[in-house]
Amino acid sequence: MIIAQTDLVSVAFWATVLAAGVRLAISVGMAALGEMINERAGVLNLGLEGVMLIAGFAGFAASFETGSPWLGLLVGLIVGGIVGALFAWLVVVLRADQVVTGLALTLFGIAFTAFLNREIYGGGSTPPRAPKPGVWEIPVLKDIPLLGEGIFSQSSVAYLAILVTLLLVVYLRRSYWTIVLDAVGEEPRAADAAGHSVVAVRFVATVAGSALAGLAGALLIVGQLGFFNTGITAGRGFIAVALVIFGRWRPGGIALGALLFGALDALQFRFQTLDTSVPFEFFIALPFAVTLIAVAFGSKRAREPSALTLPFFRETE
Amino acid sequence: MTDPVGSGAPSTDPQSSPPDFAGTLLHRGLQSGALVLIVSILAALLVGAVLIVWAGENPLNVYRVIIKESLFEATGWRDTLIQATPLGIIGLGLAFGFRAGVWNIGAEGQLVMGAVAAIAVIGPMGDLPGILLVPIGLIAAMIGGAVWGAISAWLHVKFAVNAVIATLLMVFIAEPLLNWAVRVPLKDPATFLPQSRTVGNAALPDMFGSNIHIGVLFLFILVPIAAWVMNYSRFGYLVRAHGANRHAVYANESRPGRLPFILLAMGGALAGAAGFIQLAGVQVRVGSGTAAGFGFTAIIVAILGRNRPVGVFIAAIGLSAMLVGAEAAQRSLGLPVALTQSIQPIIVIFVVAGEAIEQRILKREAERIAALTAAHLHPEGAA
Amino acid sequence: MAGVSRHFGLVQALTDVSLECQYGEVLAILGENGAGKTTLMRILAGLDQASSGELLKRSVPYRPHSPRDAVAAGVTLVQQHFALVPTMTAAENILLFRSQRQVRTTRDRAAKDVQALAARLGFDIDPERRVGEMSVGARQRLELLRALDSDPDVLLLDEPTAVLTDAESDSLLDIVRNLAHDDNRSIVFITHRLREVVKAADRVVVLRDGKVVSPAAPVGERSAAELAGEMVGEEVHDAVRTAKELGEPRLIVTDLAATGVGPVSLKVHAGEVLGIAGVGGNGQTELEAVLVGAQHCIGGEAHFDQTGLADIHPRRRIAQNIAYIPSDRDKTALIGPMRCDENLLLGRTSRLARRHEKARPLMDEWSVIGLPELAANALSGGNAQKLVAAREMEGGPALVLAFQPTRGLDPGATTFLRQALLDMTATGSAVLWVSADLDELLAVSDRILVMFSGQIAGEFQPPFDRGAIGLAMAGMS
Repeated sequence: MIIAQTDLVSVAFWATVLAAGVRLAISVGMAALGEMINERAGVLNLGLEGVMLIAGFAGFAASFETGSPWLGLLVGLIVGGIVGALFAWLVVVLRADQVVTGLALTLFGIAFTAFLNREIYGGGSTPPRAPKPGVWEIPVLKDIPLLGEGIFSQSSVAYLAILVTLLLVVYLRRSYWTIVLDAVGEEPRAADAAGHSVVAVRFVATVAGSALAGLAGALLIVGQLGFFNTGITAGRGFIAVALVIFGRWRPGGIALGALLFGALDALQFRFQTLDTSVPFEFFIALPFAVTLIAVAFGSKRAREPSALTLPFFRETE
Repeated sequence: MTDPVGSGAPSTDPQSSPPDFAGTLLHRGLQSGALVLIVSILAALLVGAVLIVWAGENPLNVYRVIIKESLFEATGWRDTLIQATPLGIIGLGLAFGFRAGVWNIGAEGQLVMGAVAAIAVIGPMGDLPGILLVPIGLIAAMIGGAVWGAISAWLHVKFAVNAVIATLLMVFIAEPLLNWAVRVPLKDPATFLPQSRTVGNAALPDMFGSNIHIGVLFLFILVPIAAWVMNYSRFGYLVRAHGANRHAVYANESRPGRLPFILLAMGGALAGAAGFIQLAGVQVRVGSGTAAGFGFTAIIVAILGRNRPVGVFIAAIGLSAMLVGAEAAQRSLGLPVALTQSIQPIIVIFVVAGEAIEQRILKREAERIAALTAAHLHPEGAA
Repeated sequence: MAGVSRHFGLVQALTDVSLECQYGEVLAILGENGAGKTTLMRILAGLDQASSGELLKRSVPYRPHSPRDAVAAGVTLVQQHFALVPTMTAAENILLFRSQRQVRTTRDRAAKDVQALAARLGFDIDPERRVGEMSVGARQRLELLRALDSDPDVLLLDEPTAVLTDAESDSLLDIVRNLAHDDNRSIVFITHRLREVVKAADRVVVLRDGKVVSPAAPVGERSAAELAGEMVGEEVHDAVRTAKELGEPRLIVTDLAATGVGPVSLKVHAGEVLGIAGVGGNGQTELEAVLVGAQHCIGGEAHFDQTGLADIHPRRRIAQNIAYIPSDRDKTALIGPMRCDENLLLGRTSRLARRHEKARPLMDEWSVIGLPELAANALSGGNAQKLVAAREMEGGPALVLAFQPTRGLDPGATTFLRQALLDMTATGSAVLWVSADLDELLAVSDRILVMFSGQIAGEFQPPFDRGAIGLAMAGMS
């Protein structure tokens, strides 16, 4: 689709950008929300990409074999949790290095799912397709200019994602456990002094975060694409990590950031056919540059949890 | 003065050193990390064997093919060395950083920037002879990579941004920059594809009759130098000291931040150099596939090499060989390369887990020694 | 509690300590470092177990195995460090310490709880303020509030006013007194500051070397001089140092100030040992940090001959032949996992090429027992400290800055190091010797200064008046 410069001021154009943005944001935003949970507890999971792929593949297989995409989503959630438990055991209980273990998990996920895909489904250039959930169009609301298409005419999985996000926002704001979570990630000694088990909290947080990442992978592969291919997540796991930072470890910020990333992604795609002096790659790099600046110049409140990546050892006598 | 090592029974002399454990083989094995590495590799190979069986092949056969094709065939050797070169060069830079506790995971971006800088500089110099273009390109690449690393370093040292974040996010800025560079300013006008001009005369020639480009020599020269620096130079001493206890270094040697800055820039420079060697030796042009994951795989290489130059060299060759052999196995046995690619991270996971367990054991031993020492000094206190 | 003893493999920390504290009373435990008061407090709070003896609460045996047990039994310790999360608000911090069962309220109501409790105690607190942004005094009050949240009938305070100004201190102590008298709680606090004892306590007992010196008596019946004297002990030491001719002043510190210390002025002459006495936590670590350039100097100056010491680069310090024996050896002096011979290189890497040859003779000279290739953390404490001394003092430094040089060491190493430091003065070195061990300083110093609350509280010449020094250490002079 060729875009003329005049399109840039049309509402219809921006409406499609927004709609595409929401679509693109769902998977990466969900993964980021999951990562936010374990990072707030002090655990950095660079294996998100791997989790998304493993859980996404498992979800795809479930969906393909049974014909139910919603089962695929559920399987993705569960498998994500299982992988998360393994990761948590390694880095929280055994206290292996979080950065290295996470990267290894990602590399493993990419390679292993490629292997499984090849063995089970042949892994050729025309991968088998699984049924996708449909698009829900809400009458009347979907015709609202600018926002209508984006918010009220989306794939059903998008609504699931939005629901999960809202639940998370509400829960985190009001729950006692959020305080414990943050204390564990910020000043684990204080949490320990208060009688909470730092190890237990971190373990649960990591499993939860990974489960959401698994759901995110399934959202992408089962909910949106309907097929699997090697490395199909295309770096979304790493983008999710960046999103967590951009959103300052708060669900609202992350959701907004995901929308921004998604919109910029949609925009850069459209800019590829536009004849302008601003290169579309600029929009791809922009959110990351902004994130770095935000972290560098941010206040202490915008900083990462102080105990992030640091294993906790109770002081022995 | 009593010989403290190897004395089994606790001595009554309050001045004597803690007993026995220090000299045992187990301790030496743990300390050097060799034991953990060997066990990890064996464990991972076992896991791999299970997967191979599931895929319907004989594990011993597969491993035989991998080793034979990568190390005992001429073409295999060639591919192994060529792939090991960038991995090893980047790995050396990362090893110094990791040894000091400085986490550079942005080598991918630094490599890319190095290649871009190199082609930007030597592209327009087209007609100069190779003997000039190669060093110029190499230096330009090292500067480009170093600058990219220095940006991360500046953010880390001056603004206290976590090194992992500072280096990783720069990768996501480098990639679009690369894509733009090969699409617009550095694009080869002769083709339609988004790629740069060729390196022309800077293309690395092959070594004496073989078809291995001389860039491989760069790695072979670098390793002993790096080993000497790490173990015998002042810089290497500071790196090792910083990794073990940075506070002591800041109290006696240098200001906080200085060493991390140097290490990130150095890692960037070496990644850039690797970028140039890949460019001039293999790819000939810079395109969007330039990095190809070397920057991340090199992290594995550094970890498996225990952050020691010789170890990095062996790990680079080993990992490369595995991949080359796996490709051969795919051709002859139909076994996907992805399987071997899965095993490599498993080795790393075993190593890291093993390391953590090793730390626990060492710590417990240290406590036991301290308690024994205390008992020697105050026998009357024991009640 | 009756007949409580506790030993840790190394030292007999408490011997046969018996105390009692009534409800509605404030009991002060006075003592210096190493007197055993922290150990006692930890036992009472469930952080440690007594080796023998028993604890009774309301005539019922009390044996907490963890802080949770203690809190459940109604005994709460008010901690100083790491018990508050700086990025969270006051209300959130209080909530953190409540268990899930107790949290029936939403977070808004928790904020109101906090305010109500604070008001009852007579001070103001903003429940939505982040702890990191609060003043130190406010943080200490929040700690108190947090402890009171579980409604304990016994409250333990560990040096509650250590980091407070006089005004903040007074206000906190008023609150503490009211808590005891109005609510019929039992409050035990440990301190080395006589002012606190006089202001807040009903009765006081003195601990020294793990033993009770004299039975608890009402505060009004003891004079400050008596109490201070008991705190530091009465033993007379034969002076090892005789008054002598001192050389030129080499270290000159004028109104030096940094966060937590100052303004401080002092001079150390060539050939002199200047001892700085004082209970730990009165600015010694800050003084140490600013003298070696580890902490930023915000006022005044320090010079060694012509060289300014403020914010000095470590290599410059070493180049000026200034020896530094840090108080935290494991953190700043040695690299545990590295070999001994490599540790000898720290700061002196010009020796790098010859390290193997030089290590053994140096270690022998300083009686460090262990192989040069052994890791430094395999050495015993005494040998490790001798290793540090070997590195710093090889070649005879012109100035020695020694901070708690013999703390925690075995007698042999202690004697060796004391003699080594004294020997330095024979060749004209100036020695600054900071120690919480008054006996040590009395034996080695030519002059003694006392640090209290970040400032110099007194200067003493031989023959040293132990009682007067004790008073200065306790904050009264």
